Amino acid sequence: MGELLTKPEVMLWLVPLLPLLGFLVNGFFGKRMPLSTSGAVACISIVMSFGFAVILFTTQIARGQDVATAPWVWMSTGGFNVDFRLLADPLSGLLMLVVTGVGSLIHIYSVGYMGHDKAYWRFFSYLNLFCFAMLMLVLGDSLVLLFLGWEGVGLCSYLLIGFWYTHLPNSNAGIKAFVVNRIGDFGFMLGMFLIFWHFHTLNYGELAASMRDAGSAPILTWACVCLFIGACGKSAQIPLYVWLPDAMAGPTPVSALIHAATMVTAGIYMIARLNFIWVRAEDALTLVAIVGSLTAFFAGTIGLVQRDIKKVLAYSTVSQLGFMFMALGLGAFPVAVFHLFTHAFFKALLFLGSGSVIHSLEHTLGHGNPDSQDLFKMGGLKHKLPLTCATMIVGACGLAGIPLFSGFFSKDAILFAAFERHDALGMIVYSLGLAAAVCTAFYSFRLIGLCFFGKWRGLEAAYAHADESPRSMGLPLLVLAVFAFGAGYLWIPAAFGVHFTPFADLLSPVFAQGQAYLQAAQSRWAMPVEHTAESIGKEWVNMLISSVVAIGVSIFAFSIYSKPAGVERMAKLVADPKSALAVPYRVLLNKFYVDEIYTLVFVRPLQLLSDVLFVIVDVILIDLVMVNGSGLLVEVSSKVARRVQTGNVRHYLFAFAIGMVVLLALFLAVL
Amino acid sequence: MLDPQPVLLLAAALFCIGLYGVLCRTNLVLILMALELMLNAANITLVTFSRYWAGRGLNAENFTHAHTGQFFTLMVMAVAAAEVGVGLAIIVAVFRRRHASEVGAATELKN
Repeated sequence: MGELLTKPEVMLWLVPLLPLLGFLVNGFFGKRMPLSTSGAVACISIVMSFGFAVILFTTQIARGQDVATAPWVWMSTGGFNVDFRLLADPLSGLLMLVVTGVGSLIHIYSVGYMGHDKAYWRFFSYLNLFCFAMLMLVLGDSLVLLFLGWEGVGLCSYLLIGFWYTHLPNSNAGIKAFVVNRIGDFGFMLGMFLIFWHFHTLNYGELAASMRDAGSAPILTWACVCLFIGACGKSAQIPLYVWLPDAMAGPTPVSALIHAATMVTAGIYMIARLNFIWVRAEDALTLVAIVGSLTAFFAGTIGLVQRDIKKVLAYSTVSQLGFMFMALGLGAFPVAVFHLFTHAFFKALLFLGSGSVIHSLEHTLGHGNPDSQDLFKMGGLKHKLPLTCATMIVGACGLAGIPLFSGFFSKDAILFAAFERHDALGMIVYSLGLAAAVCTAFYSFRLIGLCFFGKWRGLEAAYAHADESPRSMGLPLLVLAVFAFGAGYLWIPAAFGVHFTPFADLLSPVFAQGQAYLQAAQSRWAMPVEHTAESIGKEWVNMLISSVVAIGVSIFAFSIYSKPAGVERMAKLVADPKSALAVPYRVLLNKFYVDEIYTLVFVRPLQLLSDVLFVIVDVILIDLVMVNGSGLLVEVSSKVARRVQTGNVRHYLFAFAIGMVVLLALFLAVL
Repeated sequence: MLDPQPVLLLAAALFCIGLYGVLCRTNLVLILMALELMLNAANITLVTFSRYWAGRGLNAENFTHAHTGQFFTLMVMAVAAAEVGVGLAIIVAVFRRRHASEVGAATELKN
């Protein structure tokens, strides 16, 4: 048994299967178990899974050995064969670590956060199921398995957004997320079909092998565009980002795990995974870069004015995902994964911190009270929640890209990739990215200032009873704060003169084939191999610009929003119809009216069409004609046929004799 | 050599009388008797054809046909005897229960 457990292949199976086991135990028996047991089952299963992931990563993957399980045939029909096989290479191994690691912390946090909830076991079973689906998405070795996980995480996301389903807006938000994701999934499936049509396989290894000598082809561009539609849905990019802000209706740990750290990065993972196809579709990459930078900018501007603490973070997530797509679109695949990695820590930290704030206020304000999330009804909480305040400031520094915090390294690498391109695309992406970085710094420190500094603006009783959260919630905050600060040091920019890039080295085999193709084609999308004095100089300039912007804007925002006078002045400024800020403020507060436009253009006509179809097809055709009609037909015909059955034996005998005569006559006629 | 036609006509007439009796009589005992008539009409045809084949010279085929008719007649008689036994028992049971042997009144099967 012990020997079996040390086999890498067995460990790789256990990583996704342990959360599945936790889900089954909690799902079937959770209702009858005490709270502490069901919490323990969920936490132990994911922590053990994390332990195996760490062992696998340190003993195998970090040493350059991929781990794969023996395949078993999943489906086999004609020319279409799918094997069920898990594969942990550097990319999927890294994400496996993030999913189980951040997942473990958030499970532990939830023990405290969800402690008062009646459906404790249901929450943990969903959370475990989510981890299982996400691990399948990451570890599967073909697009089909990725799609299995893709749909699985979508389902869990739906279930968890609508977790408090007795409140109508929550379940509507769940439905919205599901429907918008289905639109994206449609594109994703078309992309898969196109790839299968062209290559007759959906397995990563086989695809990469058949790509080796291939050039670019229009069908690759189309396939990539279709896949990108799927990524837009799952990773909340324009035009399908609208579900993510609404998804904040779910419990805060869910927002941290699913809607910030892991699930929403599935689109980035998918593109990075298929980089060998994407490098051959430069038009699609251009589209990704432009959509990503537009999303980063527009979501960032919406985040500037939101009142709800979680909505600020939600738009920030959309914006940061935009940054990742920017990097992908510029061909800087490892940089995108790097930002994904650092973002997972600081954004999970910020969400958990906001959860800690909400939790401490809900004692008095009551569960689900919107005031417990309204930044303008907070203030001065640093005295009450010192740990939450300190860790959230670390997270905000990471998000804003303050030098030496993790976000600085990853965001800078993205901006630098655009900065050194010297073409129109690079210019557009760089300027939008820089503008988005300005917004990021502003809303991060606006949030910190409004929440923790200045004076309390809400209900007095709530402030008096606000208390630091239990230890199970404090510990994950501390651990995440360490990573939110330190994760960036895994890839130190060349300009610093220190050659320490374990992150890039680790991932380089995954992107080697694509890079080789780009370099051979002398494409603009190729990443620079050598660092010349000129490129290092440019990197310093870029770093200087973004540091000044980040620090300057952060101090500016903080100085306004951390003082009661500043908050009042801003409130007066945006409320005054004559001021220049009034109109932009209203537009941003209403999120560019995108939801209203979508409602008018898509939702209303669809509802109208469904109403018409409901009356014609459902009520008239199905209910009236087919269901009731067939019933009526039987009733009427049986009324007639019933008369034949008199119960009198002689009548039957007579019919029998007549029948015999007829048969005889027929028989003779044929003869 | 027997001419089968008049005998077959006799059998057909007998059969029709039997059928009429079965359909039109109301008394169960009489119906049973009419049924016997129909069976015996069949018996007559069987015996007629047995005789017919026997009269065409004794080769193997004719021999078989002739004997088949004989055997079936015996078979029908045996079955008819058994059937009369069962039938009379049923009639007695029906009579005990309903104190009448009118067949048209027994329509319980309808329900």
